[in-house]
Amino acid sequence: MPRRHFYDLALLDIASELSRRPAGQRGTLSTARARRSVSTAYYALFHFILEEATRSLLGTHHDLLSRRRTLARAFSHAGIKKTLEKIKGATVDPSVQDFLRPRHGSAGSFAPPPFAREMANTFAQVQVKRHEADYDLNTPIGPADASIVIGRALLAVAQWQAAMSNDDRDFKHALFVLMLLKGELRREA
Amino acid sequence: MKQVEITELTRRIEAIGRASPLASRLKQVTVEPADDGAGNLYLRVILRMDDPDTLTWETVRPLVNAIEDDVIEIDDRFPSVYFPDAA
Repeated sequence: MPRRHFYDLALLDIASELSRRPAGQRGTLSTARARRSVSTAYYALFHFILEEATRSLLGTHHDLLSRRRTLARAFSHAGIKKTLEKIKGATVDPSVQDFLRPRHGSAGSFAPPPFAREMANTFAQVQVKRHEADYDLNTPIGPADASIVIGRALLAVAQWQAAMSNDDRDFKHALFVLMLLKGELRREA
Repeated sequence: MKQVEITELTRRIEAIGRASPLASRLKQVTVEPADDGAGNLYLRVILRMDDPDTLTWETVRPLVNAIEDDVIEIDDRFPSVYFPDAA
């Protein structure tokens, strides 16, 4: 059963609210609301990944909440980005294929699970837009971009949560470990 | 790092746009190289459409996914797709 009402999903609700005009306001959505919506959607995705990762790595019991939050501080934006870049394409990056390969998978290249690739590309889209929304007022971020970002983030989260097979869980678990390693495996010379 | 000329990327994205269900609403494609100030390069893909306010992720998903799938295979810079206001 997908979890609900955590900080990450609350942020997505706020991002969604920001992407709509306030009741009674006419005209188009203000640039400020559109940009805050995009930025909040990024942090929602970031915290969603932290929540999923720490629950996968440490367990879901409520008593472990403090421990999960401590572990969450070990994840970085750059480490998550670099890890997800390894699964953004049609096949998993060769540098991490053996690490992410399904337990009974055959040797050679293989495609990332669709739910994971969608999260990777959604994260990349929203991370870039968050940077531009927060820092570059010359970039053309408008109401459509905010709405599209929210819709994409919601779908990526739903697809991720629906992927519950043993292979899906194993893939996620290995991906979270890779995030802690900032997307790089040690290579012996 | 794999990089393709901007003119070639623009040509490919225009072709993807013409083949998409949103072709009749797509007015202009602009592709710009960009960086986030921390050394990360990406592509700013600006799609000017009729009535952008009516666009949703559901309606643009095939177009955006097709652009991502195409560019990711040939260029290491991620294509960040924008749908700006008509003004």
